[in-house]
Amino acid sequence: MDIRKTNNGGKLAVAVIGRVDTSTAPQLEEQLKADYDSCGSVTIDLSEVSYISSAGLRVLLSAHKVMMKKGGLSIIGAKPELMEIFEVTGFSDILDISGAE
Amino acid sequence: MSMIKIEHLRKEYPNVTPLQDVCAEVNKGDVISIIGPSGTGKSTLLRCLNQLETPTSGTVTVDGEVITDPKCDISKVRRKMGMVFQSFNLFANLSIIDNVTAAPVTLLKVPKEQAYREGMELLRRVGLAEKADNFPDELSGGQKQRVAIARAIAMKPEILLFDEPTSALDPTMVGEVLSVIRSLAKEGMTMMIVTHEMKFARDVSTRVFYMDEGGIYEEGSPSEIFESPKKEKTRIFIKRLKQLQLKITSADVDFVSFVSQIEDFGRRNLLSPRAIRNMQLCFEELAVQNILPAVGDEGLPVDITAEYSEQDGTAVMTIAYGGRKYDPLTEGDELSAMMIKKLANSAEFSFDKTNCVTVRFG
Amino acid sequence: MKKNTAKTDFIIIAVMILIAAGIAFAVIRGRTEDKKAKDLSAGTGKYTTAEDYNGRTMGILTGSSFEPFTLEHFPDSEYSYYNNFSDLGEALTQKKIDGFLCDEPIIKLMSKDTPEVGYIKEPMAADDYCFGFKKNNEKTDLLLEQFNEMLAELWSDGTMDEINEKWFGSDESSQVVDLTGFSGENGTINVATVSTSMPISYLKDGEYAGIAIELLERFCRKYGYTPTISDMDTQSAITAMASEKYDMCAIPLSVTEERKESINFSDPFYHGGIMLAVRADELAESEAPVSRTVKYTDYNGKTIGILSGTNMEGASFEYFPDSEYLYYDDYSALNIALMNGKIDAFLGDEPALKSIHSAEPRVDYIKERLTNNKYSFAFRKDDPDEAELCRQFDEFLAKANADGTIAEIDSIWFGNDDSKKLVDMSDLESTNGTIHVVTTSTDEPFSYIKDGKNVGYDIDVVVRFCREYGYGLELGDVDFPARIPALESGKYEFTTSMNVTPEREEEVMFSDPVSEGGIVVAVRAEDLEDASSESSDDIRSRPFSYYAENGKVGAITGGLYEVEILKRFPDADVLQYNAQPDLAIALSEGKIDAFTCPVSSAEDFMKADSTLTYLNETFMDIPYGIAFQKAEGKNELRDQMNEYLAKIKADDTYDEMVDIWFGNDESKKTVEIPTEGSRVLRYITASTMQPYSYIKDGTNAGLEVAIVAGFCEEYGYGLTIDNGEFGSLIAGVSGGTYDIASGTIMITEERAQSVDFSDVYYTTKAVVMVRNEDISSAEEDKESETGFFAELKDSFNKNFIRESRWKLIAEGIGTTCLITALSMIFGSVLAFLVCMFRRTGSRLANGISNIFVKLLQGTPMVVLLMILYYVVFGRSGISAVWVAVIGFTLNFGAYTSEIMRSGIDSIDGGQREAALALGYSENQAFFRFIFPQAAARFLPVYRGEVISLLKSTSIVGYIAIQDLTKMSDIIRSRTYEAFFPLIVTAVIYFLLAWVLSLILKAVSRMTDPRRKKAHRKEAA
Repeated sequence: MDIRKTNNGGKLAVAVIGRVDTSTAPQLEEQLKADYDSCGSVTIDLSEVSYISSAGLRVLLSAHKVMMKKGGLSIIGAKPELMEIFEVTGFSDILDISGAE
Repeated sequence: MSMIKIEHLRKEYPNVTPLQDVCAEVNKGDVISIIGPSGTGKSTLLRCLNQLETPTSGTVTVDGEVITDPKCDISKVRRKMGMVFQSFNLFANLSIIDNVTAAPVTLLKVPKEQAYREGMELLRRVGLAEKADNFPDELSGGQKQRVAIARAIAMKPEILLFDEPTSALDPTMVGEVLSVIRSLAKEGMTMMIVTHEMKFARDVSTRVFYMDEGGIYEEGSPSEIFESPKKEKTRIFIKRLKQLQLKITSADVDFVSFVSQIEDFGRRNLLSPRAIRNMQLCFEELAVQNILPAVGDEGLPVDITAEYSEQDGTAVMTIAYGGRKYDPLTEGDELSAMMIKKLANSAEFSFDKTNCVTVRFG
Repeated sequence: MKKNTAKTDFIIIAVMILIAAGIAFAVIRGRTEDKKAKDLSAGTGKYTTAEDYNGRTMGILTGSSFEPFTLEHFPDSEYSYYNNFSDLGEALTQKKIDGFLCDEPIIKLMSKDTPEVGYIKEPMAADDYCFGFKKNNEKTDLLLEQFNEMLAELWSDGTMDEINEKWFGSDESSQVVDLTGFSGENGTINVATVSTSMPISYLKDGEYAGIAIELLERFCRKYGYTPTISDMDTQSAITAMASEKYDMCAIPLSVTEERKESINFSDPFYHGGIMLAVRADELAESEAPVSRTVKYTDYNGKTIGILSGTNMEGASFEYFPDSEYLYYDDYSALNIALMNGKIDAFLGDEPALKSIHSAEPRVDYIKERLTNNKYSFAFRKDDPDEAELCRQFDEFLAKANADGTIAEIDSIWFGNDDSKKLVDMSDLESTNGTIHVVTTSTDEPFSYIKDGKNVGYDIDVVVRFCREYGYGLELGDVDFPARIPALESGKYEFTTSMNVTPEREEEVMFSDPVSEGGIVVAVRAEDLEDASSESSDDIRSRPFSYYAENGKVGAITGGLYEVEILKRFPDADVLQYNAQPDLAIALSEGKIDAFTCPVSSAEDFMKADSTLTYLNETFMDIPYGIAFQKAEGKNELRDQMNEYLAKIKADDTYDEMVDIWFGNDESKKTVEIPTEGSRVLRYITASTMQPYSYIKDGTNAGLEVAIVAGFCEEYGYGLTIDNGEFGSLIAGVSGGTYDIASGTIMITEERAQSVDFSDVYYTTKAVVMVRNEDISSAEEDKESETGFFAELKDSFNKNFIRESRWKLIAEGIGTTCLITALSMIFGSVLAFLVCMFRRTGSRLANGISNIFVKLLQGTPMVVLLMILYYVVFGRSGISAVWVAVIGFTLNFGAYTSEIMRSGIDSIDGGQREAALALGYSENQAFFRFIFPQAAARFLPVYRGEVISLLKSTSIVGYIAIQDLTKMSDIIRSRTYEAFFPLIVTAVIYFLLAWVLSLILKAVSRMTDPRRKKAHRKEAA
């Protein structure tokens, strides 16, 4: 899994590529944690993510909890397969998730 | 007259004898898939046919010529038999078009102009005309293999031998090569293909050789072999094809390996990406995140089987493990359990001396 | 990437040249600095007075009276204190201090024993030594009185002088004092003394000795005391006078006001002086104490250089048993090592050292021979043909000795006239066969290369021998250690001169002696006495070539000397002057370094200016003639002159004339000039050529004038004389203005076309006038001014332009390239064949190839070449170059076959299978697909092997081939320079390698299949 981050004056844009599962979720969490202090809002782009498991969902949730106090967390680019997961688990209600264009 | 006649072919090596006694006949127009577990002499058989391996005993007759006879001019016979290798073996010092035209010009004395034209035509056919002046190291694996096929065809052979043509390819490139082979079959080219691509073998062949126990263990039509294999070992093999079996033997599970085995299985059986994902989720959420931590070493080994039924298009995943009674669906992490229950058609738990979770995906 | 390769190559070249230039700069700068440093100590920077030492570090004898003195006279100095004079002496030689004050007797002795210690002759102060006595004590007051009494007696009757002479003399056996058998009737006296002040009071063989001790002894005997002597250092002795214990002190004590307060001084028993002791090498010439003669034993224990493969080795072990030894290949390497200080001395044959010294004055030798040796040619033993040849040669030698041929050869090759040192081999005919002679051509004057040809004493002898007996000659050139092996291999019939030793006589058969000499010890010139300024003897024995090659030569405009000088030394720097006296002035002013003139003029110049001298070498013989106006047909006047000349030579008139004009009786040197006669001849003469034609007391005089005048008298002619410049003499006569001209005109063919010469009326020799000093001091000043580039240019000139040495280099390059190219081609073919052989798959073939490769890879090239040359092809006539090619082919082939094999093995087996599957045969598969791919892979390594091959050919000198490396050796042995030839040789190898690499790269680019793609694209 690859992560590309860009910080535009406090707006953190994170693009994730690959699978987010038990083995790769910790890496995502670490990357996000590293920048919490320096940003006001976070946007996670999942357009190149093919798979997400509960491990990944938990990371998103904790990120949301942190960013909620600041500018918020939004998730964009979710493919239909991913949207299914988010809907089935009810995360689409909790988080700000938008699908792929 | 049969094109190739194989009589009591035997190949011995110092430590092993992969071919003990092989007899077979290949007729014009046959497309024979040679399948079987590894190490059963599939490639050896093929390579004995064009004498890249020298049989210890037995005879091979090609088009009436006994090629196992030392007096035979094997080079001439080989010109009638094309071979496509697992590792492509394109001539690194020649350009693509030269690869294709070299043999016809030198061996068949085809005039250069004509060879060039025909070569370009072949490249067009395999979709690589624009790479004519490139060199092999500039091409991807799939492209190289297609060129290799073009090179083999350029000699206008009577039969094509394929030695695991897609085994060295990235899954994304397997398709392009298979489609070329498919089109050749459609044109009626006589072919013998050693392959692991079962679905492909099913679709394309006219005959299937299942090799085991030092010879052709069972042969028959594709439907005979794949649907209703007669002999025991064949049956086991076929069954294994359709069934994935994973065994977790330690808490340090090689997660990535298991995930990719599921992937392979799914791809081989042409399952949809969603089905494959679901099986992976099942494995991850249930086995890895919940069962393993919960039952610890006592629960090892954890046996996972996945089976795919073609008839109703459903896949079934079974996770069996020892240790104390533990139901991940109710006792496990809520999120995990919810995901599986919602995505699967059904998810059941049973305990009869051993734990067993059965999940069905539609 | 391809474009960049050429660019990168240029960058690499540029960097390498810069590095080489940088090294050159550093080395030459270093040498210049060294020369400068030597300059400093060689004359201008020496210390002559004590004042010069103020500010430097001074040693002081603790507690001595020297301390206040030192502090007073050297106020700005730093001071170091020592307990005794030995320590001070050691500190001085170790440069811990620069000077110390000392009593005259002591420093005299010290300086005698330790030449490194000298002293400034002027005493800094007069200093007397007295005995010291306790003050304020009845007993000691009496002693004082008695002592002074005794002293007075000794002084007046001369005993004191005797005593001084004894103790300062060299008869050690007399320098003892008998301190036994004292009557002691008047008691004991306690005496304090020091035991380290030779010769005043010191310990000799455990007994007290010295002037003071002797005086003490006499005193005691005379006045009946028994002395109890205790020794201590000076300060303690003085302090002891204040104690109860001691009565007097017998030490070299000087009187000071301070001391007078605690001691009573006797009268002086020694009048001396306080001297400033300094390091001997800092003293200006006149101050330098007489140094001992340098002996060979001085070098035992030092590092000795040994000429490999010569009898110098055994001799070195014998004469320098405690030394360390370093081995060198030839004289040039030894010289360089000596000058660089890597060795301190080496043994060599005297004639060789003479040559070396004249070319390189910094290398000199101890004149006493260690041994006398005879040098003979060596022939193979136990071979009847050889025995016969040797007999012939001995026959030839006997004859040559008897008829003076050998003497002639001696004078040519051991003499100084470089122009005579030629050997002509062109006329040799191999009527009776060709003989092969092996020599070492870095052995001047016996065998060396000059103007690209083999010359030398031995070569001359060999050629004459061949001429006499109708043999053709082929010379082979190997290093010293290889001569006997070369002889024994059968390739050669005999060697040139070798030292005859008993060990060698067991191996070879020696001819009768060809020449003789001996072993001498070569040392740095500065080690020898008087080496800093060359003695005039050394200067006079220099060859003219030294001046022609290193300095400026003067000559008269239009004169023949100029022509002759340039004929012999085309690159000589010649300055033109109008008349001889101008030349002499220019020489003494340093504007020129040498000029040629008749010996009589030279003598006159020398008398007038003692800074001038002339070389021993005769520059040329000069036949003088008198010039007459040319006549068509018979020249009556000239014929008459010849008649006259014949007449006066027959009777004694001519001899008388010569005696007068070359003699010293000035009164006889007048000429009567007839003014009237049947015809008045107009005579022009260059009247600055004493004693041939000059102005004396306002009239013309000289031998020539006397002859012309005598002639006119005889034939009744009158004579008018005009004085002119030398340059206008010939013109004056040929133009018709004058009838006769003279003025030391040398008869030459060219001139004879414009005038009619009389017969030779006098033959003199021309010599070379030079200054009586080293030109190099002037030279160095110039050089250090112009610096780095001038040195470089000079070096370049010497190493490449002189004697067209660059031609040698070119030849060497050709040989190197030839051997490399042939070996590369044949070796590659061999490698390929070996590969093919291996491919057959048979175990036997594989085994044989393996052994072949392993054998060759494991044998050093030098050893392989020598085995081939001396053993395998020993007797055959095959040329050494072909042997080298064979050797390198084998070696290169072995390595390349491995490269090829690994290249081939690295090709994926699938390539072969694909080819076979298509229907290619095994061979087709190999040659069309496998080998081309393998070649693309191993070509880079192959390129490296070829470059390696190029460089490894530099060893062919061992088998007598003159390649680039050997040529630079030969040049080195003539110019004695290491730096230039070596660096340039390295650069040439680098350039050759670069070119070779470019060629190979181009070839590999041409065979690259991808080029065809580019071509096809263009075509399409």
